[in-house]
Amino acid sequence: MIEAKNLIHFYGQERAIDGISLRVAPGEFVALTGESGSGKSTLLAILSTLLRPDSGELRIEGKAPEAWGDLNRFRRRYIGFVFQFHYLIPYLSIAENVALAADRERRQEIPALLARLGIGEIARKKADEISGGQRQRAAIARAVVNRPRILFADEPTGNLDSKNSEKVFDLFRSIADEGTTLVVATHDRRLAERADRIIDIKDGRLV
Amino acid sequence: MLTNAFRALLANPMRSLLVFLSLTVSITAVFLISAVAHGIVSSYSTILRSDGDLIVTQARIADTFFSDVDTALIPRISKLPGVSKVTAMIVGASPVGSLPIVAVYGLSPGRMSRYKILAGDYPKKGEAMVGQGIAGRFTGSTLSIGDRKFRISGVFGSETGFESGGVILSLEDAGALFHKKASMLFVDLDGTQPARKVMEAIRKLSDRIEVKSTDAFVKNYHQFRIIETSADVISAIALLMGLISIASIMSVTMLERKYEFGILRALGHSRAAIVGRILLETLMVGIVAYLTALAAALGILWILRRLPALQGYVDGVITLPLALEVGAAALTMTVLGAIVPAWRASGIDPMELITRGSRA
Ligand SMILES: Nc1ncnc2c1ncn2[C@@H]1O[C@H](COP(=O)(O)OP(=O)(O)O)[C@@H](O)[C@H]1O
Ligand SMILES: [Mg+2]
Repeated sequence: MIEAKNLIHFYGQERAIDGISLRVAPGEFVALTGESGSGKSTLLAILSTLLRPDSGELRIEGKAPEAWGDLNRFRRRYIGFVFQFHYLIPYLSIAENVALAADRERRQEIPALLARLGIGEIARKKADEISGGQRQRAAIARAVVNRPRILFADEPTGNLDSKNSEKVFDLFRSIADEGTTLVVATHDRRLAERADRIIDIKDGRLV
Repeated sequence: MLTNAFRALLANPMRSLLVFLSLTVSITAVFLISAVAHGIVSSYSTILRSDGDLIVTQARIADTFFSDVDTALIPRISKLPGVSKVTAMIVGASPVGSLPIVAVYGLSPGRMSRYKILAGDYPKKGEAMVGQGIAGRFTGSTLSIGDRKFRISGVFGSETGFESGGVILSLEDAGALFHKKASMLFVDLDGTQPARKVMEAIRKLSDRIEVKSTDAFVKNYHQFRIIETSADVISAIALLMGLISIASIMSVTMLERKYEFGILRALGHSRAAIVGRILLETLMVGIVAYLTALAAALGILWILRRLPALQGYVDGVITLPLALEVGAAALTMTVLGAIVPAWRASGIDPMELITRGSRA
C-alpha cells in the first residue's frame, strides 16, 4: 500500500514532480506511463524511498519515511527493485547473484524461484552467458527473492525486444496475482495495458 | 561468503595480482629489514651475553669498538669479594687475507673455551683460529691480518654469524693489532655478594671505566637502538608505500564496481555490510601476500646467510614475535588501504542506477 500526497521535487530550478497525489492498493499492479522526461523515473524513485521529495507526504504500508528509522532494513523487508539495466554481477552465477541479495532463510527457495521464472536451467551460468531477456528475469528473481510487499521497476523492458518484454510483463502479472504490489514505469503504452491501472504523467503532473 | 569473495578477486585477476604484489613486496621488505636488524642486534648481544654477569668498558665512549680497558684491572677485580672469574675481549675488524673486512676477536685464555673447536687448537701467541664461516677461504698454513702474519691454529664453530665469520687471536696479539689492552672485561659473580655491591667496588678501582650488568648493557647499547630505530623507520616507509598502492588500486576497482554496490544498497544492504565484503576480499589477498612474503623473506635470508661475499655476517632471523608483529602491521595496512575506497564506493546513491538505465 502506497499513499502519496502533493509530492513536489525539483532538479535545480526544474520542477520534475509537480504536485502528484496517488494511492496504490495492496496487490495492485500499476503502470506509470508518459513520454521520456515526463517524470516517471523521478516519481518511482520517490515512491520507492530512493529519493527524498522536496515536499509532500509519503506513506508506505501506513508509515512515513521518517518513522522507518533504518531505511536499509525497511527496503530489505518491503521493497524490491528492477531497473532498465540488470546490474547483475558478472563474475557470479545467476543463482549466486540472487543469493547475494537474499536473506539467509530465503536462500533455499532460490532454485524453485528461478524455475518459476523460467530460468531454472541457467542458474549456474554467468550473466554474460545468457540472453537479455534471461538477464532481466534474473534481475526480477533477485528483486523478489525476499518476498517484498512492493516491487518497483523502472523501464524494465527498455533493453528488450517485444517478445521478451511480453514475457517480463507476464511475469509481473503473475507476481501481482500472488499479492505483491507492483509499480512499473514504462513508456510503452501497449505493455502498460497489462497492468490493473495506468497512471499517466506529463510534465511532472498526473494526466 | 568466502567463495563469493574469491570469485570477486578472480573476476579481475590483474587487479588482484597488483594488490597482491604490492602487498607482498612491501611486507617482504619489512621482514628483511627487520630480520637483518634483529640479526645484527641479536648476534652481537649473544656474543656479549654469552658469559659474564657484568661488563666493564671504558667510560664515555661512543661504541665498544673504541673502548680501551686496562688489563691490569683483571687481577684487582678478581680479588674482589663475590667475583669468581674475569675474562677480557678485544673486538675489532680488519682486512684478513683477501677479505676486506673481518671481525677479529682477541680473547684472554679464560674466554677461549666458549668457542667450539672443529679442528686444531686454540690460538697461542702468533696464531689465529678462523671461524668455520670463512675457513674455506684460507687453505695455507698462515694468514695475514692487517700487516701481520699469523699461523693458523685451527677452526672454530659458532651459531652466531658475527663469530663464525671472524677470527680469534690471543688477547696480546689483538692488543698489538688494535693498539689497546682490552675492549671490555667480563666479570662472573659467585653469588655471595649482590651484583650492585660488586659493581660499586669495581667502579672504585678506576674512574676511567664503566660497569654495567650484561643485561643493562645490552638493553642500553646505543648502537642497537640506532639499528632498531632505522629498521623501524624503513619498515614504516615500506608499509606506507604498500598502503598507498593498495589504496590507489582499490579506488579504481571500487569505481568499476560501484553499480554492484548500488544494487545492494537499493535492496537494503547497509554500507557496513558492503564495506565488510570488500574488506573480506582484501584481507584474503593480504593473508596470502603475508604468507608469500614470509616464505620469500625466509628464502632470501637463507641465501644471504650463505652468500660467500657476506661471510655470514648478514644473519637475519625471523622470530615468532617478529612474524606476528609484521603480520599485524600488514593486516592493518591492508585494512587501512581498502577501507577508505570501500567506504566511498559503498556510499553510492542508488538513484544512479536509474540514471544509468535512462542513459543506456
Ligand atoms: N539527476 C537529474 N538532474 C537534473 N535533472 C534531472 C535529473 N533526473 C531527471 N531530470 C529531469 O527531470 C525530468 C524528469 O526526468 P525523469 O524522471 O527521468 O523522466 P522519465 O523517467 O519519465 O524520462 C526531465 O526533464 C529530466 O531531464
Ligand atoms: Mg526514466
